[in-house]
Amino acid sequence: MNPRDDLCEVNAALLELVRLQLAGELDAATAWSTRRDMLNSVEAAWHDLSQDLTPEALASLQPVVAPVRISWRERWQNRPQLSWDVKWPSFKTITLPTLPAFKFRTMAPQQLISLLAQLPWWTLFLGLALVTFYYVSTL
Amino acid sequence: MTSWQRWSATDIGNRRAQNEDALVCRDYDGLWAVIDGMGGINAGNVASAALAHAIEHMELKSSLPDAVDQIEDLVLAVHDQLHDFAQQETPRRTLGCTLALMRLTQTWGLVAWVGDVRLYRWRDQALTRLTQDHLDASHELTRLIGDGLLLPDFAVVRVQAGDRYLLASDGLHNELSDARLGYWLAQEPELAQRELIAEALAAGGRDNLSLIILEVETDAISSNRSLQP
Repeated sequence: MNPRDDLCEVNAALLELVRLQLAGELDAATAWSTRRDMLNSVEAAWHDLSQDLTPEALASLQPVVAPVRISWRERWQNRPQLSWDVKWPSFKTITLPTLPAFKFRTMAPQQLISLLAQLPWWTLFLGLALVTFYYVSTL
Repeated sequence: MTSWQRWSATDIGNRRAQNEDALVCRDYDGLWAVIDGMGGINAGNVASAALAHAIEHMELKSSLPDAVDQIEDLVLAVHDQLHDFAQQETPRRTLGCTLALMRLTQTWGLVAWVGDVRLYRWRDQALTRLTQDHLDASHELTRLIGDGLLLPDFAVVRVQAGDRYLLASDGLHNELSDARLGYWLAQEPELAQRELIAEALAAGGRDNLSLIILEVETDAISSNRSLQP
């Protein structure tokens, strides 16, 4: 029997095909066709294959490490970010129905609301502090 | 004619708020899987249940290359679904699951795995681990169904009468040494199923615990409880 035909070699080849794909050294189509050819041969010659996975054979295999590493550092880098991308609303000309001839530039209410929603949380405290200061100064 | 019996158990463990593991036992089709979900509340159990559901409803191919292809396609499809699901979560988080799957036919046996769920074989009074964990040097997962680049690994096995196989989640094999696993696999499977869980719980039970034990028999020694594909 060809030593390359035993199951240990087949399993080593299966692991290697996956490793090469994950490392980007083998395209998926080539890996797929290679695997199919190999497994078709294995199935056709099943009763002639005598070896199986053995502890010695397993120990000889190199550990398979994918290039993907879900480390704590990467998780930290991918953590949800609190961003405050404050964009001043665009001004547009609106016409008041009660003053049809009077046009002026103003801020649409929904834009003001969205602006306030985007402000960082500490501006709330800043605003409260200013209001308190003003109130105390008026006493 | 080859036949088999199956014993299985899962336990929440001592520390976790919910059991995120899932088992698939298609005894009449010769297909079993242990799935370990991760990602926290309402995430890990979703991931493991999604994969378990897909495996439960997989229409099995008969040839070896087709069987490998369909398992790979299924795992990658669930991987994409979980990845998309995680992207829609706010705040964004990592969720997914790991898997060890075994399929037996009258000729070949097939193992597929992702992550650190393991398959052991007890043969001739010796314990052999048939899967290699997808962990790096710092014991962090390098492959996870639901996150990152992914391909499952496969191994083809030839089963023999008298073999016992153990599919075990990391919650089990992290608590027990190989010597203890081998000790219990040498006992009656029904006892092994119960005592492996009990011993892992006594050792700490820091994660969900799941196992499937398979015993392979031939017609000469099989009982009425044995199943064939």
